[in-house]
Amino acid sequence: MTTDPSQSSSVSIMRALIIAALLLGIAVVLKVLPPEYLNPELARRLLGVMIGVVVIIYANRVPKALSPLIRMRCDPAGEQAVRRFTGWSLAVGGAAFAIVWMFAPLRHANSLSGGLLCAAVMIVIVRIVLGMARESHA
Amino acid sequence: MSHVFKALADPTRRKVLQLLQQGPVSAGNLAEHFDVTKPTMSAHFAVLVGADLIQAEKQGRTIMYRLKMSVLEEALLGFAQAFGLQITNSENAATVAEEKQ
Repeated sequence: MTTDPSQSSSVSIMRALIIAALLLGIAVVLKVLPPEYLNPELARRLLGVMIGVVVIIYANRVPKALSPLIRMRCDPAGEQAVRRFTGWSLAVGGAAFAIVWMFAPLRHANSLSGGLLCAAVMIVIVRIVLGMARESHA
Repeated sequence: MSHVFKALADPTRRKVLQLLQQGPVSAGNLAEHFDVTKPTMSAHFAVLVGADLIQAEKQGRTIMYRLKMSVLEEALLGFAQAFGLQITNSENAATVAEEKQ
């Protein structure tokens, strides 16, 4: 059984658009919901946890997104190592983000969660730069 | 998800996944690490491809296998390595016995 690549890419674009619309919709609902229906503190925490979960879901898929070996210009083993590292780093960052929004005091949650996620992204960038430098020396 | 558990239940398949964590490897080079027949090795590869844990790519006359594991699947592999996975389903046990023959 073969699948048409253009069809599968349009399905994935459609799925991404639906998820984005869903996230925006939930964010708007949490924002406009009157306090008697949902505690504003709980709404903020829910939104933070939701963002963290989305990061985890997307990071989980990063090592599975393979590009064909024939089109690869770099060392395939190095590329795979970077992809795996990126997935793990962002998944841990997303989990930390969600945990902070679950349990940390609300006045610190924003900066703490943002800092942790930024740290995860920075670690990934440093790993990519180091990998590129190593490959250019080899 | 049951395909993933079935694939991770076998120590040979887990070893294949561990070898592929270093980078893409040809089918022949992978088979050299195991003391099993070619058809058995092909059956193991088929299970791993079926579970979407590895991807086969033809390069000239050789088939290259690449790791295609999500973060969660890699974590499951780690757990399976540490604690082992038991196959309780009789159908799965029969499949494994068939592959070993």
